[in-house]
Amino acid sequence: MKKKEYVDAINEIKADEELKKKVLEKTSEKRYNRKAYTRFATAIIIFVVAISIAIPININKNKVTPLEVIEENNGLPKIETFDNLYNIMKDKKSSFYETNDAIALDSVAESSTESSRAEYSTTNVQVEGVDEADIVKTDGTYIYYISSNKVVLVDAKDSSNLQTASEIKYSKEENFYPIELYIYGNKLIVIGQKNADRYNTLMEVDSIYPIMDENKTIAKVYNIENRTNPKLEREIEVDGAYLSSRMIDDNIYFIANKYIYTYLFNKDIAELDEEMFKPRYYDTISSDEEKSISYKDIYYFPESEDASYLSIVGFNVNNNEEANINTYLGAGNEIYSSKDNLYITRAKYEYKDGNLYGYYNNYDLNTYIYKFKLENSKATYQVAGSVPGRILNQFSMDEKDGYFRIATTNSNNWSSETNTNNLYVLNDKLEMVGKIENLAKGEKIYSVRFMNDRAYMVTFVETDPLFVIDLSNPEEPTVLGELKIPGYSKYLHPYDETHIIGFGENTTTNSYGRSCYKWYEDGTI
Amino acid sequence: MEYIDKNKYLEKIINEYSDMVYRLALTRTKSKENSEDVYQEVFLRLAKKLPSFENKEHEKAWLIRVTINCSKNLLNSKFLKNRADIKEEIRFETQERHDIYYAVQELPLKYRTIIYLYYYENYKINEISKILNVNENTIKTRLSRAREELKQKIEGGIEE
Repeated sequence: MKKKEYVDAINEIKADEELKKKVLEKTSEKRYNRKAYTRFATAIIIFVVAISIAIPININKNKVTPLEVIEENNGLPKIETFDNLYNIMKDKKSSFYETNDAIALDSVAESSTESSRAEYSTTNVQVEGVDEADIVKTDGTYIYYISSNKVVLVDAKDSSNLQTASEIKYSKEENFYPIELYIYGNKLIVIGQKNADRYNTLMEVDSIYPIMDENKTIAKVYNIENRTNPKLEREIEVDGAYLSSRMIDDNIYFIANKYIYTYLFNKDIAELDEEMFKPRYYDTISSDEEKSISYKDIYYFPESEDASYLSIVGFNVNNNEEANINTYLGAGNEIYSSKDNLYITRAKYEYKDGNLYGYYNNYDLNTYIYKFKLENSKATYQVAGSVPGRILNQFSMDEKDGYFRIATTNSNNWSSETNTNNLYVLNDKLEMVGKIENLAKGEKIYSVRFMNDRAYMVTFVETDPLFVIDLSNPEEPTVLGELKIPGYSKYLHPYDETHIIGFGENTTTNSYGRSCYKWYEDGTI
Repeated sequence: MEYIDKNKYLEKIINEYSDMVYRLALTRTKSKENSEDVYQEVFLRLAKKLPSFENKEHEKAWLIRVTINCSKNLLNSKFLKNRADIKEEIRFETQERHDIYYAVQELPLKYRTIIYLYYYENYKINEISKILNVNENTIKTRLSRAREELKQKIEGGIEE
């Protein structure tokens, strides 16, 4: 029985527990990095706020031009019935693990300050007029921030004597974790998540896959006319984990991904309760009761392989109309929003041969883009498109004059040697009209920033090439300049038309530093 | 936002495949230190990429593939090439009982990987062929040569 001996011998070999612990710590490090960035940003924001307190406050609202009404019929099929859902899901391979990939692993926390034309500083946003939620906000007089399980309102009228005006605490029982917030006039909007385990309790599932926690994304609207006593006015909850959100004027849009527990679809349809698979929501403006979204109202993206629902919730913080909730079968990784359009992307590995295990030159990597028109707190699906490769984060995308620009890293196997970096220009129907491919072979995009007719792109392996790409002709993007320096930038921030600031690391000294790139018209950096 | 699920997933997968990755790395690199390096590299790559796995099999195959690649990189690295042969240090006290293990470890690298996948992980020839991206017939030949060599080293070889 030599085989048994061999097996026994190997069974005795165990990875060192200390080693395991070390690796576990390392793999979760990224989270802490992000926090460090946000702390840094918070410090700056508070500093800038304190300086600007003395200046009279004048809220500068960006008015959105009225949008044209578009057709109700969006060309997407609907699920219609539970039987259909069952049949669709039976074939689907669940790709839960990737839906939380919104991480964009190397992306920097988006918080940092930006000197805007307003009289007080705001948190960093990608597109002017499109606000992004953050863990700290200010309206010039008060500072609002999230601290673990509470939201704190700080009176900053006297910058030398900051005082806590009030605190909104969430108890353990409430099970609500605030993630980000918005301020709009006298409204404070806290977006957070609740974790429940409906599946664990309702279904007895014997599976090797982890039992999923069920997440709910909640937006709480507080009336803060009296800053010392914020009043909860409204609560909107939808099934799924929080992906991201945007605020355009007083309209807030937030997106949640809800994983569908496909393992259950191995069972016979008769054993399943169709109610269980409906996404649910409630909006206290109309009723406190939880409602479910009918299969008749759920669209699906036929090319999507995700076993999850993507819900886009839009509501106006100042009126009493019920929130608009649109649910699609599919999932998103990253979102980008201009004032008019919301783009949700999803990276997908498409296997050439389903029988192979799915690696080793056996797949195409594509990013699907779903475009939604935003108007009056309603997101309406427009069109879908795709580009090769995958994006890094929201800054990999941009919209200008109806053209959608996107920068991706592509590779067709797991080794990074075949990486290529590309930039594509798509028209308003998401058809490709221009491209630059094969930049910096073997490297990977670390940061991108679009500024009007320019794109700045940093790729990295050992040295950090910064590419400047001219996009003034959407059909013919061209590389204007290139600079190689050691280290890399993780985030690029536009300073003015000809300057860009990079935040990054020098890999030789391993220190975190800032470098300022100058861009001159003649093609040198 | 907090990536509760991502970390949970990583924790789960590291716990689950910890030994497998280490064992395979040891099979290939023959040294504890190198195996630990490979081990870290494999899981960090996983955390960085978070590939979308189609199923459990795909997940496992990916980890095997990456472990093999990482140990290949390590063994090919100049640092190691310039050094004299590294002595293996495996923590077995019961030498006699495990002579088959040592006999396998003395085989050439390509043979011992196949032996590990075939006899320990119970993969079929066609599966090994896909994981290693090597022709099925080549796998068959290597496996039979490996068996023959083992037979010469140890009475009875691995089959009995």
